[in-house]
Amino acid sequence: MKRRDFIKKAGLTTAGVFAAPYILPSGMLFAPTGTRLANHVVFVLFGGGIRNQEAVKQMYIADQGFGVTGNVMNNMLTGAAPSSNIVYNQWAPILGSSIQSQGVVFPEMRYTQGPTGHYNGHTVAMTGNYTETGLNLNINPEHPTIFEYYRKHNSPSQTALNAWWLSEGLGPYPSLNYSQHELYGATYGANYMRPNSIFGGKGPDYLTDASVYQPDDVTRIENMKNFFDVNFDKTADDLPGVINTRADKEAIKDMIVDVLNNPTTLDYAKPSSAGFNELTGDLINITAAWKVLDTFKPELTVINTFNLDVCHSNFSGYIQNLHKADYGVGWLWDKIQNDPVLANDTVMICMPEHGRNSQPNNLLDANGLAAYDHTSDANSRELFSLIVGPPGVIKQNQSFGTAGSPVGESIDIVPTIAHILGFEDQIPSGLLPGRILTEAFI
Amino acid sequence: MKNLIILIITSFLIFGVSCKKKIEEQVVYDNVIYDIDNVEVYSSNAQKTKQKSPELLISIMYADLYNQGISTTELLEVAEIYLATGDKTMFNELIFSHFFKAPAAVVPTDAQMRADIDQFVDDTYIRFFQRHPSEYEKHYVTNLITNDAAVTVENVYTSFVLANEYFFY
Repeated sequence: MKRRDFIKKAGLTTAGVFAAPYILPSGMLFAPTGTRLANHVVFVLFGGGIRNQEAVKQMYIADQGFGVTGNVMNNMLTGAAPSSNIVYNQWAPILGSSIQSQGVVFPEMRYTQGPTGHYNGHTVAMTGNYTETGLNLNINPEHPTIFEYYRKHNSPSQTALNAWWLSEGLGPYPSLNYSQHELYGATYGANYMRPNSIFGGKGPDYLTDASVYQPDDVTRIENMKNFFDVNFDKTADDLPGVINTRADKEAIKDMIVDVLNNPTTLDYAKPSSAGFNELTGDLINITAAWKVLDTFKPELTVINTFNLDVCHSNFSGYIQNLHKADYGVGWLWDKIQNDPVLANDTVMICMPEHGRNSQPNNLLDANGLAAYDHTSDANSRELFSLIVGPPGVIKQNQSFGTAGSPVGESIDIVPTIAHILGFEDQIPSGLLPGRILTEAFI
Repeated sequence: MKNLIILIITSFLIFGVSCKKKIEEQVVYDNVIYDIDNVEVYSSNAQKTKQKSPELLISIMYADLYNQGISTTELLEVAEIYLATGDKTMFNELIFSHFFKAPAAVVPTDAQMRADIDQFVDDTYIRFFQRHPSEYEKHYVTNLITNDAAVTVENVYTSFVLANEYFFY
């Protein structure tokens, strides 16, 4: 044996001794992390910037001086829809009882620090840390994401197939599936997909005929690739992005190619009476999220909605898209509750990334309604959150917090998810300034 | 962005033609395959030290299969799908298999591969790695193809494109 080989093998042996897992009396290699409250979490970043006035306060257009109130989020919130001055196409709710009634609402959460920008808001919600960083395009966040905590601190560890991030848009959002943090990073990242580019746009032109390799082909390809790699002393490990196991990769490819070749078999997040032209980007994202949930039953899924950001110039469009996104969330919860694996074992959390200003800008839409920006005023720091789940885990039909006594912050969602999935105690201290929203749990 | 890319391409054409500076790594492999003229290829994979950017990788992958450059429009479309996918190695596999299957792809049939495996292996190393295989490499890959009747051209090409060496220049 050559000296170099000997040293290499001896080193591996030594490393193996130190790295060998402790075999428990139960036969498990590792002790599982803390007690889980549920095995699946779906976090809907109900984004685009939503004012509490049109959401939990159900003021509809009353804040515009029209005196008409009502609930445009009939699936998520309890309350009657507006009955006059209707500026949006009303879809009948898909849920018999609102998500609020099946869980807990925090109607007055706060986003206390940093600019109320979309990327900031997403970053804060997904890392549990406030950030001053603005539009830092395509740069992964500084602090670890919820995906990295989940994948690193679960025992047994989880593959990326169990963690998904699906965004409505591109821009900086693809970079939220893992951070730059030296102790975490892509190794613990989530699978990411922007369904509107994969299943819509030009995606079908390029991916419909893509190959999904059969096991024999995989073996042939891997054997040859391994031979090439042995004969090359550099590794393409600087490639950005999460890397799945070969089996997981083929499973994801199979799902993508199957959807592209059989689009009519998809369940779409819309009423059966609504045409496909009424699907928004948000609803396509939710449709794809369900496909992922249905196919892989991931333990941690984060998705966003975004289309109601038209509120910068079109308040009526904002109301319409808010109503549709609400339908999508209700549709998703309905799907989850009718799935044999996910039902009664899933907690869903919904929260906007930030609010919008109290005062409108000077743009009026076709209905004469004023538009709103989000420029970090106090109103744009007001949020709400819904947490819904099994009655034995999540309190039902309760509300915590008032305007005078707010409860919860944007940074609290990450520790709350860690609590649900039972690994909050494994996260090193000092990384998460937020707290678990314990009020929500039985 | 489009103007920038056009500017870069134009600059390359202008300076590439007028400048006499020799750039060893810029090899048009099909010139080697089809004996159009004598150009240098890498003498060893140790000469490859820089990792290709995603855009460069897509462009080269396209050129390796079509013997022509990818259009700006197509590059932008493919780049969007790249961004929309979290697992970039998976994306490479998906987009390569699409490129491979397109009628415009200049690829041999499986029968042509088996008619002269030695030549196929030589050509494939030049096409994707821009170098000749060593005797050992040629022997190994030739044997793999010879001893497994189910190995396809797509299998072989995919292996090359997924290899670490393909990501470097």
